[in-house]
Amino acid sequence: MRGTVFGLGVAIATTLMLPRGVDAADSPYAAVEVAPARVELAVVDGRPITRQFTVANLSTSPETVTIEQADFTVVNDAYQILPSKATLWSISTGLTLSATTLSLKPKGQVRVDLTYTPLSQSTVRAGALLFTPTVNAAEPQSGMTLVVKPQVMVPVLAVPSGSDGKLDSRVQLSGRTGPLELLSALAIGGISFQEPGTIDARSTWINTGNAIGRWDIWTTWTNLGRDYAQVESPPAVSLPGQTVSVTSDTALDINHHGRVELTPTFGIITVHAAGQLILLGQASNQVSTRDQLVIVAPWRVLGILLVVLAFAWWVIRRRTTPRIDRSAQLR
Amino acid sequence: MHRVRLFVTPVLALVVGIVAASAASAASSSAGIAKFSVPVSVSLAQGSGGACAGGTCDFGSPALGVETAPLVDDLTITSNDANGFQINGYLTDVTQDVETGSCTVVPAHNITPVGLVTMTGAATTGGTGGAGTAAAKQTMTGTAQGVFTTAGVPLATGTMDEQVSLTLLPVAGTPANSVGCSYSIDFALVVVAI
Repeated sequence: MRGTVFGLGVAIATTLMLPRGVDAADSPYAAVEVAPARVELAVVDGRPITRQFTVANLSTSPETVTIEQADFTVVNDAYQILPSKATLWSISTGLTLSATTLSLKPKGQVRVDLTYTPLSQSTVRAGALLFTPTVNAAEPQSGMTLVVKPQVMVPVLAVPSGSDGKLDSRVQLSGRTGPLELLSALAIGGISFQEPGTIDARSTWINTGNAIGRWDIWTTWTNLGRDYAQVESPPAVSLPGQTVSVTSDTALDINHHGRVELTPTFGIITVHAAGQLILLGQASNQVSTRDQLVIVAPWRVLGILLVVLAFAWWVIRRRTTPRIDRSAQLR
Repeated sequence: MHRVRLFVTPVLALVVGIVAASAASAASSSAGIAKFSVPVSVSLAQGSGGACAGGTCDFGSPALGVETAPLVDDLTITSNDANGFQINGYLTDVTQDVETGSCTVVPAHNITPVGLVTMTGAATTGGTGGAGTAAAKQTMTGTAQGVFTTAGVPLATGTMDEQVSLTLLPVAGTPANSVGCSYSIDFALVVVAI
């Protein structure tokens, strides 16, 4: 019984002493969370559309968050923030916010209404909201200081749509592929050769429609007709007429536990990629790249083996040949 | 021994009773359903670690014409979007008059911050999913540049830590400050759901 009581005591004490889950965002410094993180508004008619944002202060200090409207373009697959009304497709003049300066209590949150009065019912309009918490940087007395301001950017798109939720017929969502390159292989006359290991593929995609979209791209590796790896790339945003490149490989990332290579030591492998543009939850027709053939083998080892065999054959032949010569001389 | 038994038995009986009652109550209860939807959300916070507490990276008085040692800005990110996120770094104002402080600012001392700052990211830690691949060291301008490569944006969800190393390369001709003045460069790190 004494043992039982002691055991219970140890169990209770251990439970009380267990480390509590520490919230990594528990910090007195600027910390802002925004939901939703991107907004796509279906514009059915000319009536205003309202959406709500939740802006949360994750900091343990009170915080002031300012919301600014901005425009964006996409350069080298990165959103480039531009001043409001800077683009032809700017949504800025149609957007209104219920508040642009928010005073948030520690760990507090507020809701903000975003209202869009449609500027166009035939073309896509786009812009962004920038949520910036105030950084109270200590003013240095001398020297050089870099003041880092964290911001959250929320892209806002207004997309003409029918009452059934489908894209308006005037919104063309289409694309085509560019070349598919195998970055890790050596190409000789249309066939690529590679050592066993990761096969890196880079595919290029062109937005031929008239609307911004996010490319959803899958790359597939097939060994003798059997798919052994299929990887979905992170979405790549592209504006009309814009080209984006996406790379993917056959190394499988196992959640911080390293990477596992899926490519076999010997293989006759074809690689292809298929993609479609996504907007307002709808997809364009799928387009696919041409297949690329790559032959995987331990070429270096095979080469050394070939050299060794050639050398052995040469040695054997040399040892054999003088004997014949000697015997010929004896005659 | 007998006293201990007298104490423990009723306590255990009480605990078992409470647990059983709670379970029965939860099983029979049909009211009070919490209904909620979860939109895609991201957050960015200045973490407590690194050398830039609160977002201020103090490089002191660096040698001119020589790149400083990196200072690490510690960020905490939360995301529930398995499509991934990117962090873009850029100088918020390329024409910024950077001399500041409790002094009389001499306009001739102002310098443009373009090309003075470099940024190098790292794979995220924490979270569940792909940790991302950091882009190579980049010199900052007013054009946003990704901390991660395009193909290597982190797909992880949950709470993550990101460490961004920042350096300064003050040009050799940087004017000396007046007393009480310093150079302060504004730099933004923007998280965006892909």
